[in-house]
Amino acid sequence: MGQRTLSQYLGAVQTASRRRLSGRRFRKNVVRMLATAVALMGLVAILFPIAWMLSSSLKTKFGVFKVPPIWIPRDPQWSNYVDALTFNPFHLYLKNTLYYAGTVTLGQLLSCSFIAFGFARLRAPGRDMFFAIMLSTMMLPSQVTIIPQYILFAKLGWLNSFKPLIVPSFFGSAYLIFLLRQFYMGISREIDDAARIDGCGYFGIWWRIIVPLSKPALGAVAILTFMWNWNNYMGPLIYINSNEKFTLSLGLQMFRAPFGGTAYHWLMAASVVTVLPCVVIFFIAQRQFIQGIVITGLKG
Amino acid sequence: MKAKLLTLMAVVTVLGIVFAACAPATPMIIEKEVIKEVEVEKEVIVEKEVPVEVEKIVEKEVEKIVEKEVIKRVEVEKEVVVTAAPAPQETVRIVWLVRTNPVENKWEQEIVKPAFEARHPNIKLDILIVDQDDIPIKLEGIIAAGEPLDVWCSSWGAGGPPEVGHLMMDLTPLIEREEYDMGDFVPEIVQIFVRQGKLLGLPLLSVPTFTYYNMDIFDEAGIPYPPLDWDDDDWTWDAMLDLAKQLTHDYGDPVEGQYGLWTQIRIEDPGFIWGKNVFNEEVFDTGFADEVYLEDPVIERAYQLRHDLMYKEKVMPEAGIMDALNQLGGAFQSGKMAMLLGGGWGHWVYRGIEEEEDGFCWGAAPVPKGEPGIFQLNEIYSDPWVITKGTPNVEAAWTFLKYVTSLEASRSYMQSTGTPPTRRSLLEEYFELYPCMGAEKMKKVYMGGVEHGVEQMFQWVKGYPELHSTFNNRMAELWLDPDATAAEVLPVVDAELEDLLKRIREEHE
Repeated sequence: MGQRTLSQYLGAVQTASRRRLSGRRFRKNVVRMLATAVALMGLVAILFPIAWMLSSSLKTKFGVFKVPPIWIPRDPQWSNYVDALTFNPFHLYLKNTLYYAGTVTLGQLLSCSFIAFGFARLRAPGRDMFFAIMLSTMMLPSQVTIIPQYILFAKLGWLNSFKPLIVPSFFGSAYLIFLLRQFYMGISREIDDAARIDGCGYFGIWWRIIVPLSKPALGAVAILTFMWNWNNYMGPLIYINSNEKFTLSLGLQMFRAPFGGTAYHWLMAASVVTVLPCVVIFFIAQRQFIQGIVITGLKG
Repeated sequence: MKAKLLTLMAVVTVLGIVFAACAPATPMIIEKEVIKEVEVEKEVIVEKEVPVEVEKIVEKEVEKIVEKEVIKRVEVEKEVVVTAAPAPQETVRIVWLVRTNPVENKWEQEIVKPAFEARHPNIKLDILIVDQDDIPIKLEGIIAAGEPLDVWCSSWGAGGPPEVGHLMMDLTPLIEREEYDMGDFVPEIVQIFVRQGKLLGLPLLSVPTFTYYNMDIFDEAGIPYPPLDWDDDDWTWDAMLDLAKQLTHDYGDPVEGQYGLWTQIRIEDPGFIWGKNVFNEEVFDTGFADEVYLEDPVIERAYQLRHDLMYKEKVMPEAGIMDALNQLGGAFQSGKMAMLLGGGWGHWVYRGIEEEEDGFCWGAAPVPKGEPGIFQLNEIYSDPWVITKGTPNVEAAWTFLKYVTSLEASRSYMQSTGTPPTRRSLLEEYFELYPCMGAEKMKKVYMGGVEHGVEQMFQWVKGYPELHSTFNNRMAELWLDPDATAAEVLPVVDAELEDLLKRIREEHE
């Protein structure tokens, strides 16, 4: 009786536990489904403009304006891609943008990591004050500095060249220096000491220890810088005065026209081609990018 | 160790400069005087406190530099005009600033440039293409820095003579010197660019305002098209409203919705339909508008009637619907709009819709009269080519200006873009471009528009861009609120605009 009671008791406990488990599983599944549904809705919202861009790139000039929109054109206009890319010297814009964005990225990587190393690892009087001053430059809106900078570059005779866009990147960016400094602060100082005992100097510590250890953060910096400059419109607009030196962001504007005359079908075709390099770079480097973003605390 | 660090920093810096220097660069000529002036201006800027309204400060600082540059250039120009040879012999490069527009740009790059350079081998034409919205900042920047710029259009984003008149060269001495024949240009259009007896530009295009209509929508409804005669007393606001009511269905439905009418709104538009200008007459002489007549009962009623189109009559899409239609490219082009009362750029923007699959035929009709017997007005939009005051390439720029406005170039511009010509000898040919409506009908409507036209007010009013921006922002209270009335909103806007006009006058006097 007693055994039966115990067995029954254990059975009941097991059943209750199973129920609880299945209840928990059910709740977990429901939450997961809801989360998936929300994520899917977000995905649709994010993909909507991309789908519109792809769809419009295959429509006729006035087919873009149809209401309700026709998502899959009956007669896809693949020639839009050829027309859009040959209407202006797109290959030249691409070359210019690669040169400009690539060089700026290199400049930022070198300068920011080096300056951040100094702020994070070296002790010097007034270091924190200088760091605070550097951070305060982030508070200045770019519109305030645009005129003095323009005058400076005009005096140097650098207008209508890439120099005003590229050279400043070799002197660091407050935001990226801050980002890298935070990362470097997280690397144990004992490694520096060990390296120093092995005969490493400051430069050696930076180049042989810190840089290899901070690849994710440097990857994030590289991708952010490349994308910002790939899409930069204002800088090239102000400093570049000849079509041969235009970047892609300026080239895309060429399809715009006042009073609703914009050639959207070409604009969208050119936009598809323009975003492709960024998408490819992101997919290739996404692991490092996300890792870098998480480690440096850049997210939200 | 520290020495190594310093060395490395120096190497990185030099590396950066070398990289940048490797970029292909066009040699730039900056005169020493310009640099001196720029130095002075820089000091002024550095001494200033951080501005609150950054954009305004930026504009003012640039204006100061530009003005100084212009004063210097005027002196150069005087000498050049007097002593210049009829045609330059050395190879000269001139810069032609144009707006982004795929159709126009094709004409400029593939027709004008090769043809002009073939005829004038000693003049090379550099075309700089900039989005119309960005032209003001580009224009002032280029001139302030002494970068080359020779020929451009003062209406494309630049604000016309009131805003950039000081940058436009007086063409009168050149025309008189050569006894240049202006007889073929429409005289009324040429007159727009004459200020204090100086001709500041040669006309490129000029278009009145029209009531554009979708012929297919009218045909489907079995309704006759609007009339062609601007003096037809039956073509009134009420007649247009009546048509709009018949042609509107499924109002607000994003898929099925069709709208009878949309009217453009600039400060002067509603009053023009009733034959009234919202600005005083003095503005045409002085460039300063001291008051606006938004509180005039007729103008106030005109604004209220436009509000009623949306919220009472339900024939005109509300702002949200209109934005949605425009974001897809264009409300009229979507085929969902029966009539659109707007600027004559429709003549080239809508050209070719009829040839598309699922396209439609469209026509142009007069702007309606507010009431029978009224002489309604409409805005004429005119764009001139101008030469930069003080350019060292006056002769080359003048040679180009004559070519780009010649009969040959005007014809190719008209044929390539569908833009109305400013030469009388091309008008007949132009009207043939519109097969749906037919040449005779198009001619009647177009010429009536010219007769009833008043040049757009931004060509006359000093500070118009700022005025219009303020007007648009404040008028949102009326256009976005179904319960708002013109009688409540307009007095407030009127007072605010007059304060603004007063400030503009004080700043310029």
